[in-house]
This record gives sequence, C-alpha cells and structure tokens, in this order.
Amino acid sequence: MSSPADLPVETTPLLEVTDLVKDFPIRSKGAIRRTVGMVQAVNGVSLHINRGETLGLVGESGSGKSTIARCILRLIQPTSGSVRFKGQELAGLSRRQLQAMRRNMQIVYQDPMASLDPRMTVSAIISEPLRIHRTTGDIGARVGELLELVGLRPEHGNRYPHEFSGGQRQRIGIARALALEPDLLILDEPVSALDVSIQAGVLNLLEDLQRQLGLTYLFVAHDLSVVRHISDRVAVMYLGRIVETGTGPEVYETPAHPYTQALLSAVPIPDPKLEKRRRRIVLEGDAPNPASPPSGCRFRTRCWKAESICTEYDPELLDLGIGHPVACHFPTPDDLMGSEQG
Amino acid sequence: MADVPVGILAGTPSQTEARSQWQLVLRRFLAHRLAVAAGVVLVAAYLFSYLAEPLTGWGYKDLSPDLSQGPSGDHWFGTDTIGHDMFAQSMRGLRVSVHVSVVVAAIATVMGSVLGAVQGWFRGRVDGALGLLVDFLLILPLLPVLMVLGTRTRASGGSSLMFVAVIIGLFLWAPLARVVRGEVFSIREKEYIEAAEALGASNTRIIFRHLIPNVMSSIIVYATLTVATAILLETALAFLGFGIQPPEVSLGSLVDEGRDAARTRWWLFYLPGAVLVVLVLCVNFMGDGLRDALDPRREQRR
Repeated sequence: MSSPADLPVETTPLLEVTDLVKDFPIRSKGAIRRTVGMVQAVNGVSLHINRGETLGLVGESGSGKSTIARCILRLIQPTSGSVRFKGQELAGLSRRQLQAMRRNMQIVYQDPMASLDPRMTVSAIISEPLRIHRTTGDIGARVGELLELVGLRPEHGNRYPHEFSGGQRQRIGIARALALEPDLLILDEPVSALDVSIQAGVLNLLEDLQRQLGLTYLFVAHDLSVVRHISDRVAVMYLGRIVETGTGPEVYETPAHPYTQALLSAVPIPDPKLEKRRRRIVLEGDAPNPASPPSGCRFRTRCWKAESICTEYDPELLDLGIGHPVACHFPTPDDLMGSEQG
Repeated sequence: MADVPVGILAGTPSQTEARSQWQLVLRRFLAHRLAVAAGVVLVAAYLFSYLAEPLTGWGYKDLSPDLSQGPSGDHWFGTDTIGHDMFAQSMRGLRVSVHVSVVVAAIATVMGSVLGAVQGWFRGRVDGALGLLVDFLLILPLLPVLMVLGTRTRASGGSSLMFVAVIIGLFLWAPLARVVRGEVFSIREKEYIEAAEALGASNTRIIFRHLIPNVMSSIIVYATLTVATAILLETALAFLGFGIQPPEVSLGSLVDEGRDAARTRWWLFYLPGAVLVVLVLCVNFMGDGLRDALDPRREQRR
C-alpha cells in the first residue's frame, strides 16, 4: 500500500508485541495499603502489525484491549513482555528516547470531549505536538493544512472543543494525532462515542487518511461490524487473552472459537430472511472476575463446549488445522449461516 | 461524509474572524457588567488617590489646625484628633493597601498554584514533602509569627512596606496549594492529560499548559480572597503596631485607629471603613467576572 513490496525492510513488522502482561494491583483500604490481589488486565498477548495494514482488536469491556494500547505507547508500564517498534525494543527506553519514539506512534481516544483540553483552542490543541517536538516551519499553516485534511475549515482553529459536534471533535483528535506524521496510529474505540450516522463519516475519513498517508492502524473496538469494515486482520480478545486471530475473512466467515462465534451471532444482519434463519448463540452470565480468572481455559465458564480438559489445561493460541490461530481445545470452524449459504 | 457539514458552525463572517484566546477572554469579561463596573471603580479609585492631594490641598502627613472636625467642603472626610485630613489619609491608605495586597496575592497565588500542581502531578515523595510544609504553614498561628518578623521591619525602617507584603505572601500560599493539589488529583486522570503525555509533553508543559489553566477558576477565586485576606491581615498587623509604621497609613490602620471613635466621631471609622469595604467588594466582583471569562464552558449557559 504505502511502499513497494520489493523492499526487504517489510519483513519485520512495524509493531511487534510479545507476551505482554499487565497486572494491576488491588490494594486494601486504610493507612497500610497492602496488595490483596492482582487484576490481570492483559495476560500474555502477542501480536504484530505490518506497515500499512490495519489490525482490529476486538473484545468486550474489560477484556484488556485499551490496556494493550496504553502499554504499547508506554502510557502505562507493562508488567512484562516486549514491545518492538520498527525492530526497536521500547521497554527500558529513557524518558527522552521515549519522547522521540512518540513522534512515530500516536493515539486517538474514544471520547473526543474528554481527550481535548477544554481550555485550549483547536489551533493550540493541534499545534501542541508540533511545539513539543520543535518542528520547523510555519506552524499556523500546518494547522490549517491538518484541519483541511480531516475535513474541517482552517477558521475553526480559533474555537474551543465544546463548540463542535462529536464527529467534528473526533476529527480534531485525529488532526492532532496526525500532526507529527506518525507511522502508527492507535485508534482506541474512535467511533464508539459517536452517533451511528456520524461513525461512517469518521471511518471513511480514517480509511482515506490511511490510503493517502500510508498509515498503519491498531484499531481497538468492541463492535465487530465496525472492525470488519476497516481491518485487514482481526484479533479477538477475551479476559486479557487473544482467543482467535486471522485475516478479516478467516475470522468473520469461519470463526472457530466459541466466543468469536457468539460475538458474531449477535451482529445484526440487514436481511430479515437471513436474520431469521441464522443461529443465535446467547452467552450466559458475565465475564468472570479478572482478579480470579477460572482455571484452564478462561472462557470455559460460559462455553457450551466445555469439557474436563478445559478446566485443567489452558489452550494455546495455535493453528490446529483451521487455517488461523485459535485458543480452544475444540475449535470447529463454524459457518454461522448454516449450510444453506453455499 | 455523514458528519455534520462543516459550514453549519461557521456562522456569520464576523464570527469566523481570527481571535486570540485573550481577546476572547476580554470579550467575555466585558460582557460581565458588574465585574466591569467593579473594575472601573477600582481603577478610578486608585488613580483618584493620586489626585487627592492636588484637589483638596491636603497631603496625608499634613496637620491642619482643624482638630476632630466632621466632613466639610475643606476636609471631605473630616479630620482626626491631631488634625490629619482623613480624606488624604484614606486615599493614601487605599493606595498602600492595594500595593500590599497585590504583592501578597501575586506571591501567594503563584507559589500556591505551582507548588500545589507539582504536588498533585508528581504525587509520592514530592507530594509528601511539600504536604508537610503546607500542613506546617496551615497550623502555624500566623499573627504571632508575623509579629516576630514584624519587629524586624521596625529595625530596618525604609522598605518595610514591601517587606511586610512579601512576608505575608510567603505565609498565605498554603491554602491555595492544598486546593490546587486536590483539583489536580482529579484533573490528572482526565484523558486530555494522558493525551498530552502521549504527544511527548514534558512535566513542565503539562503543569503549566494543562493542569494550571484547568484549575484557573479556583485560582482566581482564591486570589481575590487572598487580596481581601491580605488587606485584613495587614490591618491586624498595623493595629498591633507591626508592619506599616506611622506616619505611613493603610486602610487597616485607619479603621483600627478610628474604631474607638465609631460612636462619637463616626467619620474616623466609617469613612475609611467604607473605602475598605468598597475596595474588597470590587476585588471580589472582578474575581467573579474573571472566573467566568476564563472558563470557556460557562459562556454557553448564559
């Protein structure tokens, strides 16, 4: 997409995360704050993103997807594991080295109102990264350029975030993230807080920008249909683990993990006949408490396929003849539409 | 594009003119009638205090042969027991009180907001150490301490006025630091602070560009309170014979001297007192206006 395939550089992924773990301590109340437990927000996650592609990271609330995003940017310190960006290990970088790295990785947040400083004008917000990294050139002109790039008008720079609609605010957030021309953009549920009618506009903008600027996206979302629209590859998370990963068609058309199947069966189909015919999987109960995850497979408490092996052994994320890696003892590629589809 | 068309918010051409942030603040401040009126009164009174002597012919140190007289055409605010023109004294006192309180408020506000923000941002040991200092200053009985330090002003003479102001300022920042620290603790969890970190912003930048501007309304409210506190504290010091020494006067010392005469020669107490009240009120009204002007979100509610 962004660079010709004959470049040898492309063999190393732009971002490579290996065995990432993040535990949050639970502390008791009172003067002496003992650590009484650990919430395992992220438990041994590995993923990679190649230059120019989009990885969709999907999971329900509390599955650890935003924690991964923040660990990659080192906004929170991972407990263990490695994050490599362009082959360079980010763990253990000094504050200054980290600042330099942040030029190349930016984040767009879920709630654009919360992530834009209400005291700053839009120009000040968008020019802040330029000032921090002391870029040369006309900052004012660059801000105008960026505003136009995301579909706003340069005159809007003199206003405050609260004067804009949700979709426009998200565009401001995107403009800020793009100011330094980063290689990797982490999109942390960038459209979840927006009205459905406006989501499409922002998603199209993101796709256009990717094509124009050769961006690489890590797209975090809880909505499978949104991710399907934009992702090249998808990783499904459950309780701090990736349970299934593969290309868009692999995951969406032949989901093999029961959790993925359940998620996909909940996505409405805009065809009443198909919608009636297809199988619905309704999961029972809530996700278990991440402070005390179940033994063995983390999904077994809600899985209809669970057997005794699931209690004892934690399935690894492996390709067991499905065509893509699945963390399940009984993976069966499931055609949710039933046999009638073919 | 499914988004709101960009033209909708653009409005009339006059609204889309380039305006700096401070022009906007000024515009919002000017829309606040009471604050503008208070500001005008404050500035006018301050400038007028310089005109008092040429207008009435009396300086604040001058002694007239008219002793203990009520207000008249010659002595607008009357005279005291030894023949001081009370109008000249009140105007001089106004000026001194304004100078002292502005210096005090400036020192206390800058120290309080910066140190409070530093506490809230760095937490941990920095917070602990500064918190100890804040606690110490808060429990310290201010008046006795200032009296002890005030004895030095008598010895040094000369620049005692600013010395008093600086000393009071160094003791008044602690309450503001505590307020700012508390607010920073809540603001630091906001996503736009994390966003600034993700951009690579330094601690200094986060503190001065993001944290302090976002607690500005509290800081300004507190600064105006500090001005009032400073005037009253200086009053108490003057009353006890420390700080400002005769023949220098401040509104505080005038009110205190006139206190005993409140029933008999009312002008000695009520007229400087009225100037003091008007001064403090004007400062507070201006503070209200500034707070509203500095908070962009307030504009919508009007």
